Amino acid sequence: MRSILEAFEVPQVQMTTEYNDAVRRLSNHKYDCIFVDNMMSEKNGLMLTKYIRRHQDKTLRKIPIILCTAFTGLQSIINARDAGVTEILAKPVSPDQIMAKMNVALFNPRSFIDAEVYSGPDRRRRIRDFGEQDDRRKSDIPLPAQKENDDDTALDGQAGAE
Amino acid sequence: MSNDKFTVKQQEMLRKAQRIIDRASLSYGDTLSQHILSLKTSLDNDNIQEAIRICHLINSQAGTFGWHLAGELSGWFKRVLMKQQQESGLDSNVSRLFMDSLDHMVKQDLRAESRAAVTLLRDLEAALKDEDIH
Repeated sequence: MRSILEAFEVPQVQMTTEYNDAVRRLSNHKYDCIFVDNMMSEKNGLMLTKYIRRHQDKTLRKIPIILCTAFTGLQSIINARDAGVTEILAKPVSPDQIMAKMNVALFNPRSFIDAEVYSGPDRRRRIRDFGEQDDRRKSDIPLPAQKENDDDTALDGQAGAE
Repeated sequence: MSNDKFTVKQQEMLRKAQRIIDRASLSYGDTLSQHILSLKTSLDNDNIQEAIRICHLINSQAGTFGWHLAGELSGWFKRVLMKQQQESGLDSNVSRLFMDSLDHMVKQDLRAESRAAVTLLRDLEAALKDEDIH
């Protein structure tokens, strides 16, 4: 990983295998991007991600985090997303994958959500433009019967024509 | 590698990174042998935690350096060890199966898409399912 990042002309790469060492370094240095492994020594990368996302320092909280993991099952992806991971890098890693993830995380980031229940990149990767009404998902719950001359009918394009 | 999503400068960086990986791949068989030796030592000493760490290391590195099957197998071995750690403790028969397979891969230089290695993996999976371990 270090060699690949150096080939990408990243000026300084720091590595650690210890969770506590990572926490100590985070308080002493500023980083542009953090790669975490799903399996560190006694605590895993998601724990470090949660620590960062709940940190009182707003700048630190918003650092892009790329999780390197061999676990790419649906539940693992959901856990990573909910922990606040910015991007997931599936192992075995390759230079183009790393570059692509860095491009997104650093240069095309999603908006950052800073709420009480969740802190991290917006978990919605795409915002759907429903366009035609028929594209919308149908609800199982029946809509209440509409009253005649309801104000809402003004939303209909025909309403203003008369 | 699809180049259209990267700038010219980034494509040059990618070529540089790929050259580094290609060079490292030439000697990765030796590195893998050393990892397997360390893995054997940790299993002999009933040190499951260290064995899991080494499996994770192989799982992380091997695929990048062209040893995809060894990477897959060590990832699988890691999951079995983690399960054994939580439940029954180390099963030496299962460990031996995995170790023999990894050893075989390195000695026979079974990389990437080798048919022999794929057959070996399938036989191993079938054996494990028979034992109701996997």
